[in-house]
Amino acid sequence: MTIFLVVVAIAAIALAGYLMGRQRAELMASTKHLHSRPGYHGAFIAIWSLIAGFAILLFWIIFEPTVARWLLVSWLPASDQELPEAQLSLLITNIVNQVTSGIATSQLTPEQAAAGAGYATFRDVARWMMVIVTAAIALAAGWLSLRRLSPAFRARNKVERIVRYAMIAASTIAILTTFGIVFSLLFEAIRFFARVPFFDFLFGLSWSPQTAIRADQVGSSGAFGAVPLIAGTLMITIIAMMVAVPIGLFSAIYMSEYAGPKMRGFVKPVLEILAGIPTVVYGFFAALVMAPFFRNFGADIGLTVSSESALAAGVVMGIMIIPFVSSLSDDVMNAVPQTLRDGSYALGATKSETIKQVILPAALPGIVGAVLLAVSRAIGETMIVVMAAGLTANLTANPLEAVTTFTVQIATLLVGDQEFESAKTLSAFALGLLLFTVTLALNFFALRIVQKYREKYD
Amino acid sequence: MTDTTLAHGGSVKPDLSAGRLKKRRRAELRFKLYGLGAILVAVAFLAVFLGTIVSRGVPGFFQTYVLLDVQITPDVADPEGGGTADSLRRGNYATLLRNSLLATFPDTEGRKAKRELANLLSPIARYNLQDEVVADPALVGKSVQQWFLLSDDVDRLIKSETTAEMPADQRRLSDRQVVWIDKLEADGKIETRFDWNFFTVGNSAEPEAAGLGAAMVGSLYTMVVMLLLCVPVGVMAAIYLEEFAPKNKVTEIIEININNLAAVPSIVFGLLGLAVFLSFFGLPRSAPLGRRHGPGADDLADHHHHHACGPKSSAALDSPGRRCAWRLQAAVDHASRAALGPAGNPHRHHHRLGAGAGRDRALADDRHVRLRAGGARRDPRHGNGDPCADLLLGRPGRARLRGQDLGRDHGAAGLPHPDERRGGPAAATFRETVVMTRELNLAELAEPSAAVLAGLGPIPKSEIKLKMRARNTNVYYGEAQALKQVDLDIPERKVMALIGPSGCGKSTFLRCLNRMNDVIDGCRVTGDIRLDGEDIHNPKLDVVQLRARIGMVFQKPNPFPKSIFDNIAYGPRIHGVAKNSAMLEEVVTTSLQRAGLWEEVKDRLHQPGTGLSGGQQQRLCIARAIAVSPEVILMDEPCSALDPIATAKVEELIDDLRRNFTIVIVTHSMQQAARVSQNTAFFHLGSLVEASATDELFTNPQDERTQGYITGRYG
Repeated sequence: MTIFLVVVAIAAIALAGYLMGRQRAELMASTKHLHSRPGYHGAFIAIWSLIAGFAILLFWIIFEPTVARWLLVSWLPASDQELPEAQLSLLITNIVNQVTSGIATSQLTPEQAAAGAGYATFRDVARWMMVIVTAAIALAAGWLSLRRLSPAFRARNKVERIVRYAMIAASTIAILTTFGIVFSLLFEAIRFFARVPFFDFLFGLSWSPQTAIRADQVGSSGAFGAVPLIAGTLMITIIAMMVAVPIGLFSAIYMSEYAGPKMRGFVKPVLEILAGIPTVVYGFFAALVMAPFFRNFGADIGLTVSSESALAAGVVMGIMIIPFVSSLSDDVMNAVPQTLRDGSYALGATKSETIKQVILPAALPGIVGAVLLAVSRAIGETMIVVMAAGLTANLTANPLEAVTTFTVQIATLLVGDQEFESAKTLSAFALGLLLFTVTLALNFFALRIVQKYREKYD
Repeated sequence: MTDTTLAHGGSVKPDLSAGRLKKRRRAELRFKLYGLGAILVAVAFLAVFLGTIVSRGVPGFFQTYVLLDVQITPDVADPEGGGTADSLRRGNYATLLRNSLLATFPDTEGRKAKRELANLLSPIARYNLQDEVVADPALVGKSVQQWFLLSDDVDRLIKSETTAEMPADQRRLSDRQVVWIDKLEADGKIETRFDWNFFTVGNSAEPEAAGLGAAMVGSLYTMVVMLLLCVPVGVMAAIYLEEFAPKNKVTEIIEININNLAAVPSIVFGLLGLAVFLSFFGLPRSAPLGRRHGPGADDLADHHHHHACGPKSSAALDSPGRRCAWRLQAAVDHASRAALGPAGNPHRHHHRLGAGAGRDRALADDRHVRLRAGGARRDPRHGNGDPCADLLLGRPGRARLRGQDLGRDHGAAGLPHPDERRGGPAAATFRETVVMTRELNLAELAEPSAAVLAGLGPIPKSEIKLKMRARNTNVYYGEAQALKQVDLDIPERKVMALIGPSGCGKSTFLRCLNRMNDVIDGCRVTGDIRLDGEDIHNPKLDVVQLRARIGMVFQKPNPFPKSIFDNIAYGPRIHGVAKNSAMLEEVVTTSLQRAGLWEEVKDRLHQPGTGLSGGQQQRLCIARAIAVSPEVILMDEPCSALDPIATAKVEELIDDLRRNFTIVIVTHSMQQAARVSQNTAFFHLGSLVEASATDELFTNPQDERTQGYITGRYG
């Protein structure tokens, strides 16, 4: 709440600064020629107020809790201060809960209660200090920049430079995020590989990550072979592509070559609805409609179909992916120049002959790119398989049985209580790293192919 | 007819028999139906999907209630007496409800039966009654009649999701219970109502009492945090990359990165968030004692953060939002850039820059409306369901739009179309030029190979015979009439040139002759055009047959993206010209020889046709056209994209081809018309002005307009 107040205060100061700067510049303009238009003078002041205010706010948010905690520890009796880190943090959580919400899991000693009270006072004071200090700094920054205004002041250049830096910062966030993913996955995966050898992970044929909490429990050593997961992921992906590629490709062909503008205008958005449905709803559909359907159908013709069969998950995933294939393929086929079609028609070819022998070969690289992107989407899809595919790592080639995938395992490994020192939990990061590498490579190549293809005909 | 048959005794003619055509038309229909079927399947999936979700989901919004008369006995409801809230809270409301049910079914005997009877109600019902009594202590000692929530098992029975006919072990209700419910229903004491609580309450162990309230609040927070973070960042990044960024490696890497991030599976972002929590927010790697919710739980189920308490809760609260924002940034960035793209034309900018407005300013004015329309629109769908960023979908649209913009500017600036720059020289020097170029051709340019000469007979000296005849030909593009009442006779084995200024309808007329205008949407052709006396618009004549007899060569060389061999073999294959591969090879060889390309490509027949030079490509296209042995070849400015040497080669080829084919050529160059044609037709503003022998037309034009054109007064 106080943070909201601070944000409002900074915004108000910036607005006031803008109006004052503009007014002053307009006054100056009445006597002398201005370098920049008055709005830029106003914006200059507003920007500096915002930057200074938010910098202080950020600083405060980051360091205030650390200082508060440090103070709390220093007020605790020496016996408490010497507790091991884990117990100390538990005690601190306890004290903080006591003073903030009145819920205590264990009784506090008077010294602890006193330290807690001091802590609460500090937090209260600090919170109000934050409002005052931040507002003051924002005001000061505004005032300092107001003093710099003069007719010759190059306000526009300065404002534009700041805006440009902000935009550069915004576009580098993408890079930082990629680095963040790579390094966080890598470091956690390295912890995992310190426990389980890399090649055992990559080529092991058995996956059973259940490690025991106590050493004397049965099955205390888990098995971390990723091959069953790779096989399961591949199987579901292949089933999905067997549904999505023919339907998507033929839909695209029909839409780009046969359908009139009216039909196209109707069908294309309808197909794209399929891409807009949240995947959790697909998961629901797969688990409650498709899986029972396949099981009953299998029972009718004398086949045993697991209720978590790879088939159900794969088919539903395929339906989800149809618009990815159809939209991209449609685009690449439309990019094939009309002159090639004309050339073929002029030789007396029918439409289908032209499509099969001229347009598809010409659009092939783009279509391959589209399919690769779809594969990458299928491999990384989570909710459908979490809801509809199995949990047991089953190394099988039978699509009627239950298989499990990378994403299912990552999700189940991380749901619930866990500790981040065990191989079981850390294996999720190793799986994540593998998943990231595979999808990144697929995306990279697919995008390259599609881009190259576009350059060819643009 | 010694020539078209070549050495094969007539077997190279395309197979245009009715049987084969029928087969091809059937294949065509089949293929079209596959496409239509695929769309229908996809739409059917969507329909089934939405139907199932709705039909299964809607009953969830309704709950079943029972009307009971409850006697609020003072000693049960208020055990300590006095009616204080504290005492009322200790009342045993379950007993009150059970007594009420027992009063409805007085003949219930035995503990088990009584328990089953009580279990018809939801465990929540007693708390509802309790709340009511606590709120209004005056109820104690009275009898109230009101609706109480039934258990989910009863609810399912009422909604016919379970039926009494099911085996008892599957329906979770005993036979007795089913009888009771039937009785209550018959008495009108059971009602199913819309469950408004569903939108306000949180999670519950009892399905009938659970709701979405907490989850909706959680989703809302996630969305708000994400939008606040990602919209500004995404839009700024898009503007920078599209407008300011220098085109270098770094920019390229950023762009590739953004594209890739949009396609990284969401679960990987989940792992990133978790790792950030572990490393930066200092969550303990192993919790010392049973903490109820580990960070992993926060991570995967976003509504869990409601349970989190203490100083970390604020960080936990917006974490899924923040992670989502990373992904969404990529998506918004795409959409925004796609929206910016069409405005990517630099001219507009420079205007504004010149007018003293800063670059940002120009941008702000030009783009923001568009951004708002295109960029932001994509958010809601992506934010709420975290579906997949649809990646490139915006980009081709952008590329096309941009092309159009540039094209329009080109026209608006009054620059001549590249082809139009080749104006004719003045009429005085005209004939000299013609003569000179003709001599040049013969003297210096490629000699026809011996093979070609050997294969060709002498030019037949027979009397002039009409090959094609057009009468009253009109062409409309939508409302606009492009061709008006054109009558033209095209003699056999002669070259007919169509000349005239741009937009005069000469190409349109050419495309009428093999019905290529059929391909263009909104184009309508009327009139009577005959090939060897046969109406080409006759419904019995398949357009495929017609085009096999009338070949066409286009302005821009358009070889298929196949090998040279396959380019030539394309026509013969689809028309079944060759009966075996040896024959096909012979057809390809002969065609290339006749197009004068054989010597240049005989060692690279299996390399792509697109790898040839422009002039070679055009001769490849001519070879492709003659490979199906057409009777007429239409050429639409075949040399306008070629250099003079290549042009001369093609012209010489046309001269050769005249021995075997009737040729109609559209050209902008009057010299070319004079060099290659025997007859010339002059078009102007959609009308045929004059048609006569070429020498006649150029030396002694009958019409003023023709005179004006050939002397270079306009055109």
